[in-house]
Amino acid sequence: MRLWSAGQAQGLSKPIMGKLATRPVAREARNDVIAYLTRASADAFAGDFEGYSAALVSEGVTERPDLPTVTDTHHLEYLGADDVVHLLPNGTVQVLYRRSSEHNTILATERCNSFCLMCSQPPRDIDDSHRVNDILRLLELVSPEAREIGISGGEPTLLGQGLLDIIQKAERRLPNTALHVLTNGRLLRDRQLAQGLGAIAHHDLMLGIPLYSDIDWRHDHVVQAEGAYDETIAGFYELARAGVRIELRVVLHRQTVERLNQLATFIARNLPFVEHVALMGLEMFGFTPLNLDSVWIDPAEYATELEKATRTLALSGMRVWIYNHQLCTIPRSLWPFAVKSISDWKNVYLPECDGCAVRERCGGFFQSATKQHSAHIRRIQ
Amino acid sequence: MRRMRPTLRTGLRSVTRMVPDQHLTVDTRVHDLETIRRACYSMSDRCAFHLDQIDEGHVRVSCQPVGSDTLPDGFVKTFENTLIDFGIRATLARETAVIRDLIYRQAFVEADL
Amino acid sequence: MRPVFHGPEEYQRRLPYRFLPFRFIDLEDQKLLVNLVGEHALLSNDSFRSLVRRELDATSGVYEDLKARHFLADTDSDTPVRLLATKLRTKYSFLAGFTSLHIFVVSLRCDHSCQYCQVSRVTAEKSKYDMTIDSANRGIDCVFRSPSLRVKVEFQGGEPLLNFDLIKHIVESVSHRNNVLPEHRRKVVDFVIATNLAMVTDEILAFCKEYSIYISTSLDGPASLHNANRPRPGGDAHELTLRGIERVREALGHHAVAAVMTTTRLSLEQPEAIVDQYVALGFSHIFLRPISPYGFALRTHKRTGYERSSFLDFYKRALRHIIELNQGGNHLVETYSQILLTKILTPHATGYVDLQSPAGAGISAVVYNYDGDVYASDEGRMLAEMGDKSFRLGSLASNSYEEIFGGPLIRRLVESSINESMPGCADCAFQPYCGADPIENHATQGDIVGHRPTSDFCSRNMGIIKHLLSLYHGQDPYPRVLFHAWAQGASIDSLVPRETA
Repeated sequence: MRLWSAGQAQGLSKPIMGKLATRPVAREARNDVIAYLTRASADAFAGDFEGYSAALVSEGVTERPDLPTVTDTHHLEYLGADDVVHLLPNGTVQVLYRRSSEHNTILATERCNSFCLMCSQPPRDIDDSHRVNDILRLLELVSPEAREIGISGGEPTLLGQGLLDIIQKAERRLPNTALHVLTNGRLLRDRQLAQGLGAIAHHDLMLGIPLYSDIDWRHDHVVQAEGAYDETIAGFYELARAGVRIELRVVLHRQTVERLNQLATFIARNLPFVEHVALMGLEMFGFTPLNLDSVWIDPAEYATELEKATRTLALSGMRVWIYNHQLCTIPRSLWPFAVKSISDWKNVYLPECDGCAVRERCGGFFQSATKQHSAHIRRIQ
Repeated sequence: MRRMRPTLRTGLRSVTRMVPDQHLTVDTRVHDLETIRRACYSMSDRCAFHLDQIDEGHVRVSCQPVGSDTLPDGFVKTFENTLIDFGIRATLARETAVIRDLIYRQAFVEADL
Repeated sequence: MRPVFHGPEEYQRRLPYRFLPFRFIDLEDQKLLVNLVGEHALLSNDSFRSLVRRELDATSGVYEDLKARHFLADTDSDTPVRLLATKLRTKYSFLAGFTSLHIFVVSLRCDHSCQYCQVSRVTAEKSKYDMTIDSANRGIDCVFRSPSLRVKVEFQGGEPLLNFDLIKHIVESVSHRNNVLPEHRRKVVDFVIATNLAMVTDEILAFCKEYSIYISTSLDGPASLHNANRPRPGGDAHELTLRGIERVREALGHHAVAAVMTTTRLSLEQPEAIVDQYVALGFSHIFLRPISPYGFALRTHKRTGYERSSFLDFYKRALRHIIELNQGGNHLVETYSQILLTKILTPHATGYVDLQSPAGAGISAVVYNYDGDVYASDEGRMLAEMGDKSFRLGSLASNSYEEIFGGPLIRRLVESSINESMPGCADCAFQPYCGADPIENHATQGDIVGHRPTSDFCSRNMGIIKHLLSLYHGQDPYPRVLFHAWAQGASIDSLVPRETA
C-alpha cells in the first residue's frame, strides 16, 4: 500500500487539498470536496460536477469532469469517501488522511536538529515551511470522528509557533481526536514554548519523546548531536511543569540495550511523571541500513536486558509497553507487555509464521524486515 | 602497661600510638581536630573521651570505657578506621559544600511554598 | 552524498570527575553509598577506595552507574544539579501541606487499663475529662487553617467512643464546612477513630458508614498476649476486640478497620504468633512499632521495657515470617518497612510524621487535648500527663493559630530536628531515610537534640534500615521484588502480570 501515486494533471494550476466523495454531495458542501471517480463510483455523480474543488479519476474511467483533474491513477484502490488527498500540478496525488485507518500521521517538516543513527525518516535541510498552512488546511478536512492523529517529522518543534497553531486548531476543529506528537523534546527546554503548549490545554495530547541512555554522551552518540541529552532532559522537565503528557520511547538496538536496565532505573527515579515507557523494535529503513554494524542486534540476544529493564520499570510502578517485537523473540514472561503495534498497512508475516499459535496476537513484521530480521523466528505451539 | 604500634591499612606510619592509661596520640596533620571530634562522638556510647593538645601536631585522646573496666576488643583498630572514615567524610563535605548549597537553593526557590 | 555519522568518541566530553554530595556506611563487607535524595549504590571496598582517591576508571560500569545516579559528575552540564534539586523538592513536598494530621482527644475516660497506656486510668464517671464543644470548634478552625488538601482527623482518648456525641459534632461540622468551600479549596478529609471497640453500637456504625469513617483498633497478638497487655475486669479484651472487628467489618466492609500493635516485653518472644494472628483475621497490614518509652511505660518499665537489640531481633523474625507468607500467596504488608522502602526505592515523599526531617511534631501532626491544650505530638501530651508540659504549644482557648503554630516552641522543635545538621545524623548514610524525634530525645536523654550513639531511636532505625538493605541485596531475589511492590503500595502480580497459559 502506497500513500501516493502519479497521474495526469489537467487544469491544475496550484495544489488542491480536499476530501474525497464517491457519491454526490450537497451543493453547499462541495468546495472542500474532490469527486472521486472509480469504476464503481463514476455513475453515481450522474454528470453533475459543479462546485467540487477537483476530481480524481482512476485508471479505466473515461469520464472527464470540467474541473481541475488528475486522471489515470493506480495503486489507490484503497481510497474511500472522506479520505483527504493533495493533488499537485505535476499529477502527484498525496494521501494525507485515511478515514479507515487507525494510524494517520502528519509530516510536520522534513528538517531535524538531530541525526539519529537509526532515523526512519532521514531529515532534509529544506524550507518546507509551507507545510504549516497545508496542515492547518488538512485539519479542516479531517473527519471529526477520527480517533487519533499523529504528528511527526523530522522535528515538529522546529515549527515553533506553527506547531502551537496546529495543535490549537486541532483542539478547535477535532475535539474528539487524540494527538500524538513525536519529538526529540530538545527545543521544549524553552519554558515559553512548553508553557505555550500546556496553555492550549488540548483535551488528549501526548508527546512521544525518546531517551536512549542514562549517560549523556551515549544518548548524544545515538542521536548524533552534542548536548542533546541535557536539552532533552530539560525538555522533559519543562513539559512536566507545563502539565503536558509524555510517552518516553526507547528504540532498542546495539547502542541502547547494554545499559537498558540502568536507563530504566534512571527513568523511575528522575522522570517518574512520564505516562508510560515504550520499548520499541528497530525499523529496518531510513538510516538503519547505513549503520547496520553499529545498531543491528538480534532481539533474541538482548532478551535478558529487556526482561530486567521491563521488570525494573514495572516494579517502579511505571506502565511499560513493548512495541514491534515478534513474540517468539521476547521471553514469554514479557508477552503481557507486548503490543500488536505495527500499522495495518505496514505488516507482513514470514513462512516461519505459518501455524503459529499466537500469530494473530503478534504484530508480525514491518515490510522492511524481510531484508533483516531475527534469526530466531519460529512458530509457537 | 603495654606499648603497641599497630600497623594501619592506610599505609601511614604511626599515626596513633597507644600508651599507658588508655591514651592514644593522634597526629593532627593526618587527622585534623574536627575529624577526631566526630570519630570520638560516634564512639561515645562505648567510651568517654577527653582531648588534650600536646603540641602543635599532636592531640592526646584519653578513653575511659563506659560500663566496664576495659575498652572493647579491637578498640584501637576500630578507632583508627573510624578516623579514616570521618576523614573521608570531611573531604567529601568540603568538596561538595558549594554544589550542595546550590542544589538546596534551587530546590526551594522553585518550590512555590 | 552519503551522510556522515560519528563514533562515540566524538561525544565523550569528559572532565576529571568531581563528587556530588553523598554519605557512606559499611554494609556487611561492602560500602553503601547514599546520595542527597536517598538513591543508593553498593560498592566493593576496592571500588570505594578508587572512587575517593579519584582513580575510578571512567569506562567502567561502576563509574557510569555512579554518574547516572548522581554520585559524581564529569561535565560542565547543570543537568545533575537540576535533577537533584527537583528530586530534593519532591522529597520535601510534604512540607507544603503543613499540618495534615489533626488528633482530637475527645475524652480521657477509658474502660480498659492497658499496661503501657500513657494516659491516666480515669474511670467512666468523671465527665470533666471530656473535650468541650468550644474546644472542638476551635480545633476545627485549625484544621481548616491547614493548607494541606488532604487531612486526617483522628479521634483518640482514653476511649473516644465514650464521647461519641462530640465525635459526631466534629465530623458533621468538618464535613459541612468542607462542602461549602469552593471546589479548588475543598479538602479530602479522612476520619479515623482509634478505639478498643468495646463500646461500639449499631448507631455508631451507621454514622461511621455515612461519613466513611475508618476504625483503628489495637491488636497485640494472640489472646494470651493481648489479654496480658490489656487487663480488663473479665479478662476478655481479646475476645471483645475480635467481636468488635467482625462487627465493624459487617457494617462497613472488610478493610474499614485496621489494627495497630504495641510491642511489649511479652510480645518479643512470639513474633510469628503475632503475625499469624493478623493473618488469621484477614488484615492486609501489620505495623511493627516499638513501645513508646513514656507514661506508664516508664512507670512499669520493669514489666514492659526491653533492650534495643531485642526489638530488632523481634522485628527481623517477624519480617522473615511475613516475607515467607507473601511468598506463599498471602499479601500481608509490614507498614514500617513499607514506609522506609518508599524512601529508599522511590523518589516520593512519605507522610509518616514519626520518620521525618524536620520532625513532624507540631508541623505535620498536632494533638488537641480534651482540656483545650495543644500538643506537638501524642507523646508530648503523654509527658504532660506525667507532669512535663515542655511540648505544650498553647491553648485553643487563649492562643491564636499563629501563636500555636508559629510560636517559639515549634520553631525550636523544627530547628532541632532537621537531621541534615544534627550531630551524628549529619554524617549518617541513612539520613535521607530517617527522621528525628525531639520529644523522645527529651524524655529519654534530657534534651531535644539528643545524643545519637546512645539513642534508641537511632539504633532502632539504623538496625531496621540495614536489615532491609541487606535483604534487598541478598542472595534471595524474592525480597527485592516484594519490597518494590510494597514501596508502590501494590501487589507483585498487579505490577508484573503473569503470562497465563
